[in-house]
Amino acid sequence: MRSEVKNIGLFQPTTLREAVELLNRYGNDAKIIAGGTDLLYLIKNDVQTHIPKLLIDISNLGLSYVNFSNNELRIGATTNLSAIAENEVVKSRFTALAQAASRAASPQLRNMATIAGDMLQEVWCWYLRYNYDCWRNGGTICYGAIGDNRFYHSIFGGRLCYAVHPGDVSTALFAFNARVVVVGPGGERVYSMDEFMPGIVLVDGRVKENILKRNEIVKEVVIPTPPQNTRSAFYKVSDRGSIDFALASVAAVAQLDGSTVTNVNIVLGGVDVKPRRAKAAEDFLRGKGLTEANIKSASEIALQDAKPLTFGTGNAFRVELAKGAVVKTLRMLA
Amino acid sequence: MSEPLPVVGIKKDRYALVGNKSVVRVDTMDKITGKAVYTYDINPSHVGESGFVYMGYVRSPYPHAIIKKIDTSRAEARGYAVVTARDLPRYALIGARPHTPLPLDRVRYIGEPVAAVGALSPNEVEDAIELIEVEYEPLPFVLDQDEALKPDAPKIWPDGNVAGGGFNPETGPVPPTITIRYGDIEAGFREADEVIETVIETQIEQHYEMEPRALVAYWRGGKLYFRYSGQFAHSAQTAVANYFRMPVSDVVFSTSLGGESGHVLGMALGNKSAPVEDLIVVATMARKTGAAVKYGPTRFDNALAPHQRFPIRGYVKFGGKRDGTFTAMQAKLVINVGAYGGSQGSDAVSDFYHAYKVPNVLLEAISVNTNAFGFSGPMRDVGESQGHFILEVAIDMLAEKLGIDPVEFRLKNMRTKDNAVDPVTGNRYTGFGQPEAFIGAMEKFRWKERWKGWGVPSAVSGSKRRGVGVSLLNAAKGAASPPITGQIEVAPDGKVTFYTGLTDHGAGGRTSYAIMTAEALGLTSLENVKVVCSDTSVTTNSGVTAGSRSTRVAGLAIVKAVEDLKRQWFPIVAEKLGVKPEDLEFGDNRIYVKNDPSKGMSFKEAAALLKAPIKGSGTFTLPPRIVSRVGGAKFVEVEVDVETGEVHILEYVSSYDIGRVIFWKGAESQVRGGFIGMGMGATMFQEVIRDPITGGYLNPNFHDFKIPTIMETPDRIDYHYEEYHDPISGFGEKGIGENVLTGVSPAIANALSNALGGYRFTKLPITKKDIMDAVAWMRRRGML
Amino acid sequence: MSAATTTIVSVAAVARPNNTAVAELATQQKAPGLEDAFAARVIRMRVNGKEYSAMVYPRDTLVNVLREQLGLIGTKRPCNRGECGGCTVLVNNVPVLSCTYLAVRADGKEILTVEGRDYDKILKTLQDAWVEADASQCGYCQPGQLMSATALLKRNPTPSIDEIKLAMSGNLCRCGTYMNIIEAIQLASSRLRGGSS
Repeated sequence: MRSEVKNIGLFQPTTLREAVELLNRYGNDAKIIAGGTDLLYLIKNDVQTHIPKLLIDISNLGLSYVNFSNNELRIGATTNLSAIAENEVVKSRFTALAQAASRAASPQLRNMATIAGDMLQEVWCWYLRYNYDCWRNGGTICYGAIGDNRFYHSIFGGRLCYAVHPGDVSTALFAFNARVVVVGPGGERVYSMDEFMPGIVLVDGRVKENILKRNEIVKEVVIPTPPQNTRSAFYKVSDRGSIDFALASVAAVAQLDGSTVTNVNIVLGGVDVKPRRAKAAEDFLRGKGLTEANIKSASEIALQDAKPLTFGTGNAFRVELAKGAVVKTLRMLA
Repeated sequence: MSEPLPVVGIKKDRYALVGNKSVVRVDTMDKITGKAVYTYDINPSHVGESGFVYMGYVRSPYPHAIIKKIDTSRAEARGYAVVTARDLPRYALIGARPHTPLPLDRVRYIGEPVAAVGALSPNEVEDAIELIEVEYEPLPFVLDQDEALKPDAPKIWPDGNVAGGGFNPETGPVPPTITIRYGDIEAGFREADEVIETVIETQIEQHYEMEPRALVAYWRGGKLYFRYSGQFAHSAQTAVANYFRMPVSDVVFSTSLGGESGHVLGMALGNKSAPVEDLIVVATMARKTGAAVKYGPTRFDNALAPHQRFPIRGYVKFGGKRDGTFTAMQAKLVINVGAYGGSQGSDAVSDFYHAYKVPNVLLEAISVNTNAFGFSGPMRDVGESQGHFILEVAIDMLAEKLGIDPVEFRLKNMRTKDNAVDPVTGNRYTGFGQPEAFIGAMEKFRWKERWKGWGVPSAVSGSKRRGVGVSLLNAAKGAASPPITGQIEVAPDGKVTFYTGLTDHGAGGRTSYAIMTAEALGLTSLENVKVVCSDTSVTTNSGVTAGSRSTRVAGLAIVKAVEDLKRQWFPIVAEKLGVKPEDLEFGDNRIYVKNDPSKGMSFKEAAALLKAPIKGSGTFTLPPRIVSRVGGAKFVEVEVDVETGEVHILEYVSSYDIGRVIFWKGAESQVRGGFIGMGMGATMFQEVIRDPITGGYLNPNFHDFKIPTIMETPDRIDYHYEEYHDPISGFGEKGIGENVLTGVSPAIANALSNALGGYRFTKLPITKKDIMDAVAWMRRRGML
Repeated sequence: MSAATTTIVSVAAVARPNNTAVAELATQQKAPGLEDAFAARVIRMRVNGKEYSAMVYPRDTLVNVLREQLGLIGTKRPCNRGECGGCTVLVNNVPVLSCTYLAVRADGKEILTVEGRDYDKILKTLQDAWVEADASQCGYCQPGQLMSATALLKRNPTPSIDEIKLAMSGNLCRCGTYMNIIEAIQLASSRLRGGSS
């Protein structure tokens, strides 16, 4: 536990290529920094396996933009959440994304945090954050699975690490079928959100929930523009009205024909190791009207395979909160 | 019955500044423009040094362990300074559970400082901490007070886990268990038509005041100087002097710095009471290094900092008759006072038997040591919040079982001005504005219109349900406890200075003291009035700035000091005017002849007659057998969304028998702030969370110890002041600082219960989990 | 009882060996620029209208530089983790948490802190309103509050109560002065629009 940042080096490359080269050269010792809101926290808390000796600053590489053209929205990796939340096109055509970006953290943090940071942020598990030797920190146990798991651990079970992915924007990105453009030494690759965040995986010998390798940088997020008859919404249940992570959140993107749902993506956030598509609920709603009764049923179905933790403090109450979030979100679409 | 108490202070028909709604806080501008210096801001040049040694602590990672070895060699080899228990005079033990300021052989709570390190920059301090190696032998630990009472519980002290000891200057040695008994409790229950028996408990909490509890110390010319962010400067001075066996006057707590406001303090809430341990360790480091030492706690340090609000588990049994008579009050309070805490609970217990007049009472409080935290102490109030939560939720339960409106029940049984006497000691209240204060709030809140019955929400709309709840307030606050001193100096240029050992930690003391000083001297503005707080080289001990006593105490000191000023000054003015000194009075920025007001001179002219500044000194001793308590009520309307557990406070109305409002804006800010900043959080969000497996502190940060944001602000806050001139006061004032908090939790809990079909919340905090439990309970009963 | 040390893991502040010595990187290549990466560098910024240059290391955060090097103690550091908003300053008119903002990034930027009373009319008007509306008690969180409020009125001169709450939602106040803060912002807003100043 420290307060000041340890002695650390900083590179400020002028091109993305240069950044990738530096990252590749220094491997284990370096991390990129964009907003730094999560990384600096981990460094200050002295979370042993998360402390780089070198920072590679990518905040000035021209990766902050929101570009809309007819068939897609391209958002640069270092675009601040506030820029996304306030963008007129995002607010009108990708409403759930704007709402998610506006509900993340606090206003100041939204001015600093980035869209890639939302996806790549480390889980907010207090065991990890206080340097317990868990799966993510050089150990072989998940303290949350057996200890105090009320807020920050999965209600859908898990393996190895049970901590939830806390990203609000990520939840919306799943609902919009976003794609992630990743740059590495070998060039560019594009992943779907499911491919990018598949759940608990081992990457470079570390337990993570995204597949980004040590020497790769997220460059851009691409969202296909949904059809004109799309409505979307995002709702977050959190302890306080600001700052807190989601106890449960929902992003829903639907195409409506009148009041009938022709297609819908419903994604649950803050309740699983990655944002989770509620496929059964989506199947249920397809072809039906957004009535109160159908909305309620959908919320039950969305959580029917929940497996809340029963050891330690337990977290079953978040199943109920998630149902509530589903209901609130679907109502906003009607 | 007994004659009324004589009025001590100044009673006027109209006041210029007391209660004046346009008077603004005197130190705000300096604070918000970066001119005021908080202890954490102090740099070496402020104290005439060229640099500091910065200090940090090596802390125990275990809640209970034997210290086998402390190896400081690597740190010392790098030139860092280290202080361990070996550097302290070991004969000197301090505290209710006598201990050395740094442990010799055992740690008893997680985060306990084991060694202090000093380095030349804050960055390096952290490097230095890492170089100290401590070998521990972990011991079994216990975090819960009832667990710690079991015969096979780990023993934290050789004599077991029941916390005793300590010494109350007013009442003598404090016994480990407190028992209050009168009447015949068994008969009381036999008489009752209904009895409720339940367990109600509160959580461990911490202050999380924004300003960390910083400290600067240095030795100079044989004297020990402190700059300290604390509320007990004079007591701390004595405690430190005793510890180092120095003359008290050789220990100096100073607040003078450049600039008008000088050295200011952030919010204290009792966390900045005399933590003598830190003072001693910093002073020892200063002596060892020969340098000025600055200890600027990190938020982590401040979260583990000794004082936590002690949780209480109350085993309650109340009985009453169907006509609403409260016949039997029984409660056992089992209090977790942490590893080094002493006996607490006397305030919580006294709330029970003062709040209601019950003929048959049996109350017990037992304080228990555990490894849950270091020290228990005040958190704004001292056990009253906890006591009121347990009491006022149980009262609601009894009233519900008797089928009586909760307000009716309280009105029928609460203590009022007609029996404003301590039933145990017979001491009388100085003044008591009940039931008027209670009724005032009740009417402002329009209780009768809104209350629809037990378990019946006051309104329902979709998934949102509204409920209303009440709590009585009766707490021992605003005591004119000794010592009470203060001096007022008038200079020939007309400038006035009030010297007080009290301080201002955000509650607005400085402004209140200035208002009262000016008022007593007949001035109509604060322009030429300055207040010097808590500077032991120029102020005298006026007791602690706690217990909501400072306004009353300062008021008493001021009126007495003005009497002394008159004795020195009026003869000079009288001679000039050709009258007798007793003919004169202050008023309207003048000194004038009482029977002939046109005759007199301006304050400035009168001051110019002085050849040198004069100082009036005031002291006051409380007559015996007096208590001070503040009464009132708190009413809340909540709105709960049963789908998401979200709670919104629609309206909050509170009342206080406040005596007289001195600093009007400040009082209103306290009423609002006590609810928003602390009360709501304590009820719905906050909790010190300990890991069940390792005993670790999981949320020592602002993110997970959740104090309310602006989004939690209620829609409406209103209040009622029951004003009258309290006889033992400077201007009629009593005190309010803590009362704005006491009783908030049960009012909210009772309102939530009303919104949610009568589901009883008996444990704090009431989080979304508890709301959803209530919703599930309602669903099972077909209520939703 | 047996003195077996268990594998219970500490919470924090454990005496761990110092394993992050600067030079001991896993990659031992002394590539060009590596030493420079750790070196201090000069940054130039304009704070409250005044030009400053400071020598900063990569580890230095803006709040530390403002307070320690520039002696501007108005900005406070209550939590140092970006959780409380107390360290908020404006960087190019945008409110950021200076405890989480690396000082090197402040190079070439305009910073506004509460010491900028004579430099920024909106800030000054808010400070006056703060006193009148008693929006400050102990005062420790208020510099951060004021900076968030200044940014708000700069971009939205006539905010609704909801807009005010949203803009101020990242600033914690333990004294609970939020209602007075809302009133102070409304007062300042009306003054700036042409009420008496």
